[in-house]
Amino acid sequence: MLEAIFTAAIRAGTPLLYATLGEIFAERSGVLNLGLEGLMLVGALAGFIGSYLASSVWFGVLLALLTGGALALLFAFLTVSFRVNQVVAGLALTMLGMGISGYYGQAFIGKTAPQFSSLYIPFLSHVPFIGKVLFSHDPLVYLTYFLVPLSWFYIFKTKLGMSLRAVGEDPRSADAVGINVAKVRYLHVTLGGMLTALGGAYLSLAYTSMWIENMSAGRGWIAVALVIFSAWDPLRALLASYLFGGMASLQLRIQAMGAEISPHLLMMLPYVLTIVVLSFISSESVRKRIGAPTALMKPYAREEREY
Amino acid sequence: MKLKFEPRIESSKVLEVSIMFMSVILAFLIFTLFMLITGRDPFGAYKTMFFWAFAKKVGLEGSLIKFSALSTIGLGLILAFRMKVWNIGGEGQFYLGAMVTTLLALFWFPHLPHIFLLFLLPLGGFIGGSLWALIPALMKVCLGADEIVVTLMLNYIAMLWVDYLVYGSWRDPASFGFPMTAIFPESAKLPYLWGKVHIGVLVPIVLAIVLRVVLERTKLGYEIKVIGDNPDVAFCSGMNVKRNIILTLVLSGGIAGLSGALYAMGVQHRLQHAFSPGYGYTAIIVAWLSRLNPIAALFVSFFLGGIFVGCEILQIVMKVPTSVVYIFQGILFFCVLIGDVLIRYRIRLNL
Repeated sequence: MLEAIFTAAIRAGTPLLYATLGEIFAERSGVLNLGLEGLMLVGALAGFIGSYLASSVWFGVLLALLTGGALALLFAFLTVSFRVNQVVAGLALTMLGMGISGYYGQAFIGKTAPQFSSLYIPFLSHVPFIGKVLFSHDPLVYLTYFLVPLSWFYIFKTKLGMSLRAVGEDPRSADAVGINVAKVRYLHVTLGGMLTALGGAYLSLAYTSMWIENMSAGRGWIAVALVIFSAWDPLRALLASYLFGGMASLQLRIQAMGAEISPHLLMMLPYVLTIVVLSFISSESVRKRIGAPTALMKPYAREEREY
Repeated sequence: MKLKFEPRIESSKVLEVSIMFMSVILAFLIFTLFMLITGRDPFGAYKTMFFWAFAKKVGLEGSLIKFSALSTIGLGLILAFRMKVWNIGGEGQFYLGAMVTTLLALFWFPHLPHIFLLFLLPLGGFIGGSLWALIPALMKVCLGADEIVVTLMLNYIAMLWVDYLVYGSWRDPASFGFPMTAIFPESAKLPYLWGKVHIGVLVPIVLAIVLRVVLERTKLGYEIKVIGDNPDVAFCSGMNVKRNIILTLVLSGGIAGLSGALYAMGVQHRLQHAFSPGYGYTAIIVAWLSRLNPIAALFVSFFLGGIFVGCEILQIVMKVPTSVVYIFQGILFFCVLIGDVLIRYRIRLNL
């Protein structure tokens, strides 16, 4: 029972984890990308189409990464170079993603494409409990086992990560010590978009194993919330994602057992929790302590004093 | 290659209007390109869209109904945006307005006479929306929480709350399992003005004039402008910034709630799952495209309402998926945002 819940939590948490990781990179550079929902949808469709056309899941993954990267690049161009309002541009990106995936997806509803299958790691998957929970998944789950510590190491222990944090903290000083602010932001917004799209592809290639219109079902918004929970830290993002994935699968289980809790109320939980968390971490001193990027949502231009 | 931004010291009305006009043209150009790429005839599509949306009676009725919902929310958002308080929660406030209206119409006062309900229900909707906006307002003022994320999350909560009700205790037993409430009593329905266009279509017109007077001629309007320009200056000159933020956000949400009430009373006559096709988000485009001018917002919403209807017609006539409306809105959104930057800055390209 517990084993099954933990296993399901990891499966349900993985798409959230990809999107959350992606958004952490973007926000660490000082760019709030509210287009996650749209990016996930496009990623889910691109992944499915790639897998369908080339009969290869990995081609699906590649196509999802490319389209997600392209859309995020467009977003970076508008928000970093053109300095348009990040919030509204994010909403526009979500609308565009909903539209594009709905439009092109119509031809793929009900089709089947090659799927990721579970890969039991030799020896490790035989370890009682842990083997089943951690090592009975598909390759995209295993990829996150590497990606999360790697991201953490990159952000907090490397020189590049330091300039990333500097740009998100104080772009003026970063610029003064010779860091190319625009380049850092472009790079990480695009990288973030690719990871988010990969989270979407996980849905259509492993989780649900088909294309359904609007299949991300609000996961993009939840990821925005999870970034705040995890305090912009990849390791905590892992825990937060699994926690929410676990809640989602626990909810299904509770319903299957016939308990009288409305799914709609349970689905509210992440949004309510985000608001609660926000009310705790909004004060200036707390934000400083947990390392929230100070320059979040502030476009930067060298010439202007006020930005 | 470097982009160089020089703030425009003075920006003229003519410049603003022409750049916004160009943004819409640009959006249409990109959309045309998109249609061509996907192998559809864009000009045939435009002809069908605009003919139905603005020249045929049934389409024009639809455009006016959507105009009414969009412009009312948009006007509310303009009030908040003028103060640079980013209320992204129009959608949720719209839902809350419709929800309170339903509560009053179906469960609390179904037997009140028509004339009472005609005033009571919109008031209820207004209160519903304003209470929903009070949450981000208080969080912003008391805790310093960012209103953008809070209002966004509240949109989802409002939508799920409506779902909870219409899938649960409010579901009409006679609805064959569809997630919707029973239909409102006759006394709770708005009278029709023209065809299917309810009398609520006049509300945004009156509201726009009132808002214009408030923004240009009253102390509140002046304070909103000063706080929007520079909260520190406003604070130092003795304005009660916090009180004004709360007041403006609550009014803004209340107006979106009013829109939800009118939509429930005049169009749907009940509460149901996915009650709004994203009016609250489209209203953000309305506010941006009208440059926060209440009168311009009326024209912009009529145009966008027509686009909505046009896309619905396209689906029926040319079998174009309805998602096309989101693609167009997304493109338009981006173009308007770029236009906004062009109005505020002179951009030089250094190669």
